[in-house]
Amino acid sequence: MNRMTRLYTGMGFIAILYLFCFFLYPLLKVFYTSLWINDQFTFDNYIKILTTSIYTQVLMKTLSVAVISTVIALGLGYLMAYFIVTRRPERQGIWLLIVVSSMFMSLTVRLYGWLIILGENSPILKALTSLFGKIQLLFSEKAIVVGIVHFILPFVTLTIYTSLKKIEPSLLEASNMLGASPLRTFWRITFPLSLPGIYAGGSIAFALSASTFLVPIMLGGGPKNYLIANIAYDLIVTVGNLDMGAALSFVLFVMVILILSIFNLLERRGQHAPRKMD
Amino acid sequence: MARSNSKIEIAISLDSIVKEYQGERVIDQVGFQLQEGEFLSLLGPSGSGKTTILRIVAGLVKPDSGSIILKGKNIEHIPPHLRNMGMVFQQYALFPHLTVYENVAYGLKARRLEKKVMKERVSKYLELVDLLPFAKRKPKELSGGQQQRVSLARALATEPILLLFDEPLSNLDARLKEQMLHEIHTLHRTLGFTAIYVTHDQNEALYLSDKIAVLNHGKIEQFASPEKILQHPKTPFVADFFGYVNRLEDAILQDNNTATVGQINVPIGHQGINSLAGKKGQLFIRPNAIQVAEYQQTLVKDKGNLPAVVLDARYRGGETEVQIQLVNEAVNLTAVIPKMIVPSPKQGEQISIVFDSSGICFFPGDDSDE
Repeated sequence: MNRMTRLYTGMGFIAILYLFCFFLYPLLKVFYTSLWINDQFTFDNYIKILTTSIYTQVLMKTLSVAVISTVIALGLGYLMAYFIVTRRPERQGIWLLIVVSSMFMSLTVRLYGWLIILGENSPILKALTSLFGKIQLLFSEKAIVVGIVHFILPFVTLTIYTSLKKIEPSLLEASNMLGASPLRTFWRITFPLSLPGIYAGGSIAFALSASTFLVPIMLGGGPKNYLIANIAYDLIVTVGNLDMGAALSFVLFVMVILILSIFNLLERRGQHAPRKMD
Repeated sequence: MARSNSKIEIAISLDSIVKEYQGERVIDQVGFQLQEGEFLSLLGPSGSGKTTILRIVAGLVKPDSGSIILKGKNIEHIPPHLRNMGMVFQQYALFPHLTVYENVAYGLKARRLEKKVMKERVSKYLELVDLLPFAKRKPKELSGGQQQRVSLARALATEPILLLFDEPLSNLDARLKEQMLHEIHTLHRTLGFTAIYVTHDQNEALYLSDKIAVLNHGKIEQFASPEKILQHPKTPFVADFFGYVNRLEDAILQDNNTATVGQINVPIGHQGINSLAGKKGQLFIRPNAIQVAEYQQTLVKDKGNLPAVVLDARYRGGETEVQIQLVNEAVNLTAVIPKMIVPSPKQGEQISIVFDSSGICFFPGDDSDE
């Protein structure tokens, strides 16, 4: 083993140790906590979560908000990424910087911005109201979706941009030369080849959306629109029901892992069996 | 393809094509005509504009001015996907998410061919390039040579009016290159397609082409058959490109058959335009036009032989390349003996040489120089 390999092995070991101490151990601890009520081992918390309508409703709400946000972010992100990747190469950096620049500021500050934009006195909302009739966005599920999309859009745009950038321009020319129109070329070549970026971006977006904590508090208008992370926080910090809070957190974790596995499966299938062309 | 004597069909003609990039003229008044079934090579060093011309023909680059007529139809405003041309790329450009079969079928699907016809067509062309058993593979499961053959089949399968090649062999190793060269030539002979082939390799151009356009700085220096270009290079640039590696300055043309360099008479086989007796200019000599009498199989006459000294000798593909210096005149030359000389001629060895006029050209210098 030469020195470099030893160095890398050492660094890898540190990473694994770090993950174990600060991720795996706390996770197991959460799971362990959720299974003990008054010194008794029981699955009662999980049964309660899956049978009580308050909890199932919050679960469904979280799931739907996360899915809707992810889908919207993927759509918007794809358009933005496609726009950037079709600019002149020397200009692309500036566009990417603009996309990423929103991340330079704290999410709290940015959400205050949305409070103003979506608020009653906002000129933007007034303009929209005059066009489409009265719109109430703030303190609703829709406002939460708006906030989450704003938060996850840069991640999605960057991952999709990367996958689009990897596509050889000569492939598009080859498609063109074989008689495929630009639109056909997009659906048969560009889109299938950018799927890895969509899966990766979708995974990140869903994980971030489902576990969002700040957005429901600031744009959701209080407990009526709380999502899982908020309920878990309240249970632990306000109510002091540690085991129930732990159980709810673990359910959220499992939910995210399940969805990510589906994305993963889709991606692998895409690699082995090609999409049917007609 | 049977070429009848009565009617020669023009497949494509370009006229005064101009293209500028940021004020620099990369294509300068290029025009040529290509007959149906002909194989044309665009040959030139990098930056000579050969690829740009190909891309203009393909429609991937818009010319600033000039016209392109394809089978009697002006195609300047027709987008690439409606031009019915095929293209083989340097980097193969196979679709990585599709199988070999789907790659070859791609152009046929875009043309909405009937399924049965399509299947036959794909099989036919995969068979032609010997890749039918690989139909279900993905491109990355094939070798470079196989990938380029798929790309060839893909371009051929749409049976295009014109086939374009963009340096298709430059990514292949020497042996594979030879095989592909042979394969492309055979396909051209059997299928009779019209082709434009971009390359910087004179050997590829000579092997494949009916016509060669030699390009330099966006201009066509010479447009002619391989034989013509080899025997009668039109400009010093063409001569240089086609292996006239010895260049002697300050030559003076005596008559149609002779030029002198210092005290030496050199027989010439060809002279450039504006050559007049008494004019100063350059002599271009192919290495194989300098015969070394001592190593010649057939007897070379002693009369007129020039004494020379060997400076260095190297082997090159079964031949022996010898650097020599003439005894009577301070002139260094590269000569080739068309066989391996073992042991190779030694430094300082006394030899004598004879010029073969068929590989020697005279080009007059600019008048302003005199």
